[in-house]
This record gives sequence, structure tokens and C-alpha cells, in this order.
Amino acid sequence: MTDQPAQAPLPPQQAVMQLLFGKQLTYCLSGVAWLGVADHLDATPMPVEEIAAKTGAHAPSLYRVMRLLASMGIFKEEQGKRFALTPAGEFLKSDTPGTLRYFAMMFGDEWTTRAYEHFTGCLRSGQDGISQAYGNHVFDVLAERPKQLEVFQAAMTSGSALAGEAINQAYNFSGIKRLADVGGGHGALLASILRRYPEMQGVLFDRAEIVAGVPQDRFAGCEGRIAIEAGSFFERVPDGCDAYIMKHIIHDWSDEHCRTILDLMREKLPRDGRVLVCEMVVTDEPGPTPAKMLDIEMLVMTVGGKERTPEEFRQLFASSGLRLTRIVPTSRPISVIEAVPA
Amino acid sequence: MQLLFGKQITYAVSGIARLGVADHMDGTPKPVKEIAAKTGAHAPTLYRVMRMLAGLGVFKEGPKRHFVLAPVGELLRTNALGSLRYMAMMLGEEFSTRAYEHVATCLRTGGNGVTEAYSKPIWDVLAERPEQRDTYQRAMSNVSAVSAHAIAAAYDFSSIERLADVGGGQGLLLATLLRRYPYLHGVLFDRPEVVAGVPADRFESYTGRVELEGGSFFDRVPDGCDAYVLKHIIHDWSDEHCGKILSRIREKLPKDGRLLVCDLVVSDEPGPTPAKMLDFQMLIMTDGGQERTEEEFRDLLAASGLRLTRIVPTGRPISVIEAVPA
Repeated sequence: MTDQPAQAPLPPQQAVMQLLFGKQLTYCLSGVAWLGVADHLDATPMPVEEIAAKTGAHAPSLYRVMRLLASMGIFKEEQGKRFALTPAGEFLKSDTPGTLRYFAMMFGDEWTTRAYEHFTGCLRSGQDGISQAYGNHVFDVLAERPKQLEVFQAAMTSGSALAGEAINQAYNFSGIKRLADVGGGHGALLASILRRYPEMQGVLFDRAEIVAGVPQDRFAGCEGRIAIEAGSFFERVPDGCDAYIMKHIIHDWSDEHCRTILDLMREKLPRDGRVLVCEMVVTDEPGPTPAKMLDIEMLVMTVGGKERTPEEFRQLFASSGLRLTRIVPTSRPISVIEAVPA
Repeated sequence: MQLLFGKQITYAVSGIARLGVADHMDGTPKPVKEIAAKTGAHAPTLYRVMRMLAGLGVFKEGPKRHFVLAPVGELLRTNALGSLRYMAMMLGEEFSTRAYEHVATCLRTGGNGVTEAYSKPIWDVLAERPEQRDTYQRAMSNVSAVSAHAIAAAYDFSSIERLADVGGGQGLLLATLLRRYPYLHGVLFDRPEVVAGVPADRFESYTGRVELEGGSFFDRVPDGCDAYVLKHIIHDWSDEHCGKILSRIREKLPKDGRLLVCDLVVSDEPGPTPAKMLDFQMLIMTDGGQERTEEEFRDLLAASGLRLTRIVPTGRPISVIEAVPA
């Protein structure tokens, strides 16, 4: 979204309408993602009736939605109400690496929708939309909704694969002896780092119910180099590590909560240790950057979570006795923000 | 990913519109704290939202944490010509939000989201929610104000003697036409509760040239007219329902009379045209409503004994689709 081709600006009236119709696009994508439309398509055009039959859809309605998405470059419409998949549309297939199918489904799910109903309330009070809609924290809301939780986790996992690869390519982890991935989920990032650095030891740390779900073969080939620990990062972090990595953890929480986590790390960290925070960074770059957009999602969906500017990261680290040393960009909209004991 | 974040954009613009942020801004950069104080907003949150919308050209930021309205943002002012403030508010309202939760079901069944969410059609849902209905009506008036002028300027109404605006709402289009064509007589026709709400001063300059009639266009349309206009009515309904309305009009239409349907036309033009976008809104929000292609209009009109003669573009997304007795 930052490298759009130069084009004549729309007249203001149409520009506002296009922004306002953003919701329609989200839900169109969400609808076809739920039906799994892309899984039945490739570059060969298929009649919409056939697509509808395969996905259990109402053909005339599906046609109207696919026509709109074709105009946005997701499908290619051919004579006779036939559609093919474009390269952008490939990302709605379930098995495309970095698939966005589950994100699309999630963005249309009830729990994300209801939270957005309270956007004005967020603006008035600063309180998040989930609390206003459900009187509960997002993770508690999801815990009560297994199907929606499943979609959420699939969305997070699919985004993780590409980001993990990009982090691994961009940052030089050599020199680290024992790395703890705090809030490391099912261990995809840690496993990819351990495979690349055969001398390194790793600790996967997350809540008990999460680490219980780590796939059996996740750390295949890293035997003897990996420990799995269960716990809450507000209470403790693993011992004996010279580096801690946290991917998409800090942006979930307020400064105050982040300090609790960072303080725990600071206490355990050796003089030459480091903290690696993997997040988007809000820059002064004009345009609707991914960081600015995701920041709105955090505003509505989390209690105090946000995307931060370099200055905000610097201050956050400083308040926990850490010093930001550098920000390493990756090929994806995620950076590695490195800090050491101050 | 950009498309997926569309929802975030809609709600951000909607929230800003509801707070009336644009009404407190002018040509000089205002600190976000001051804007927050004037609109009852939480300043750090307002900053993050305005920062994102600045990225989309609604505001301009500079100096740091100071904002000025961009031309796009001007349209969120309540009194801007062609204001879209209420349209923005409406698209964030609960009735519109809940309906969209059911997109996947709509795709499976061909039903609409409002019925899925509330088990009743949109008009009944709005009738029970006076505040949301008020926003809806203001949103429609916003759009009407702009399209009424475009229609009056683009189409030549001069040989029409008596024009009925069927489903004419609060009479904005008809009043615009009566002003432009001093010999024209008009009939405003809509449901009784709607015409009861016509502002007292709407037709005060046109005494003797206008009549207000209450009724349902499924049952009857006004007598003695040589032209009928239907603005954004046909797109609300299924072909079957439209057939009923068009047949009522066809019965009353003289040989040299005409019907003017004012709606968006779905064309083969590539890109996300307003017609294609609005069509999705109709799919989710109405029971069988849709935006139609020229061919679909031709078939629909033919089924009621009418012949599409031409489509007159207006310079706005709306067109005038002209038909005569076949």
C-alpha cells in the first residue's frame, strides 16, 4: 500500500466514498474466503455457476461479489461470467505460503465486527472496542468461541511463516548462545532460527495451553538444543539466556504491561545480552503504511496495544533499563528492534 | 492486505464523522489536543486515528500532532456542499455493521444480511431505531443534494408538463426541478409517514405547482402525469418487485409519456466503479436490491411494456435511464 502507482487523485466526493466503501471490500474478501472460492480456482477461467456449485454458493450473489473483487484485481473476469485467479487472489488459497485466507475470514468474524461498532466510543474514551462490546479481554472472548479462536490462530500462523523467514534472513543471530522466544506460540520462528544456526540453543516460552499444542515435528533436527517452558511472561521469563526474542508481543500491550515484561528480561539478561523485539515501526513515511493501519486494529481490538514509532520504542526500552541499539528492517513489514542493557 | 484493511478505514472515517471533528477545523493547523477537547475525544487515540487518515489524504499532519483538513476531509463537515458526514456515520451504525457479519451466509443462500441479522427487512429495522433512521435519512439527503443538481443539469425536462417523483422522499429533487423549470408541475409521492415529514419550506416558492400524495408505489402511482421519475428506488428492489412498480406506471403513462429511472449503471469499465461497490451494499442490505447493467435495465423495462430509449450520464455516478411505452 505504500508503492501505489502514481495516479490522478479522485475527485474528493469519490475519494471519500471509496474510503467509506472500504468495509465492503473487507467483507467481500471475507465472504469468498469463508467459502474457500480461491481453492477451486487457478489461471483457467471457470464459470461462476460451477464455482458456486463447488463452494455451496448462490450463483447470482457470488457473481456480484466476484465481479467487484475482479475490479480490485483479486480475480480476472472473462466473457460469459467466468473467473480466473490473479496473483493477488492466490493469497486467498488455503495452502499458499503466507496465505491471507484466514485473515480475511477473521476480519469478517463476529468478534472483530462487533468491536468496530464501538469505534466512536474508542475515540471518546480511549477504551478498546472489545471491552466495550463484550466487557471482556480479547483472549477471553476468543476462549469462549472455539471456531473463531481457530480462525484467529490460523491467521496468526499463516502470517508468521513469511515474517519468520524474513526476520531470519535480515538479522544476524550468530553469537547468540541461548535464545528464548517469549510468547513464541507454536515455535515456528524459533525452529527456523535454530535450523539456520546449528550451535544455538533455544527455549520456547508461552502459556501452558499454547505450548501443549506445539506440533510433534516442529523441532525435528534440533533435538537436544530445545527446551519448552510454560508460563506467563508477566510473571517470569526463562533463565540462562543471552537473548530474548518477542515477535508481535509488545504491540499487544500498553507501555505499562510492556515494562513488566521488559523488566523481567532486564533482570535476567547478562551484560552482553540483548532483547530483540520484532514489530512494525510507525515512520514518518507518508501514505497508509501497514504500521499505521495495523495500529488502528490494535486500538480497537486490544487493551492498550499499539504500533510504535522509533522514539516510542526508545523510551519504552529506556524505562526498563534497556538501550535501543538499532532497527533492522526486513523484506516484510516487520523490523527487528535490538536493545541491550543500558 | 490493503483491501482487507478496508473495514478499519470505514470505521475510522465513520468515528471521526460522528465526533464532528471536521466541523472544528479550518485552514490553520490545529493541535490534536485542542480538537480532542472540542469534540470530547481521547487525545492520544484521536491522534492515532487522524495520523492513519492523514496517510489516506483526509487530513494533513504538520507540524507534528497538528492537523489541517485536506479537500477530502472537507466533505466530512456538516455543512459542506455535498457533505458526506452522515453517510460516513451511517456506514458505521449498528444496523449496517450487523448485516455485514453475514456475508458468507448471503453468498451461500442469496439472502440478505439485514434479514439474517434481524429477521426483518431494513425498513422495519430502521423504524425501530429512530436515531439510526435519522442518520440514514440525513445520509440520503446528503447524496440527494448533489445528485439532484446533477440530474437537473444533465437531463432536459423542458417538455414535461406534470412530473411525479415516485418515492420522492422529502422532495429535494422535485424542488430542484421546479426551480429550474418554471412551467413544470410536480407531484411528490411517497409513503404517508414520509411525505408528512417534508419540510414546510421545501415547496414554499412553488405554490399551485406542486401536490403531495401519500401512498405505496406497489399499489398505485399518481394520475395525470406525462412523466414519472424514480430516483434510487429501482435499485432497492428485486426484478419482481420492480415489475409491480413499473407496471403501475406503465398503466398510467400516456402514449408520449416517459419514465426516468435515476440509478447507477454497472458498466464494463474496469476498476471498482461506484456502481459495483454500491451493488455489494445492496446485496447485503436489501431484499433483492441491486445495481443493474444497461442490458438488465432494458430487460426489466421491457418486461413491463417499456422501451429503454437512452441513458443520460450526469457527471456524477448517477445516470438518467429514459424509457417510453413500448
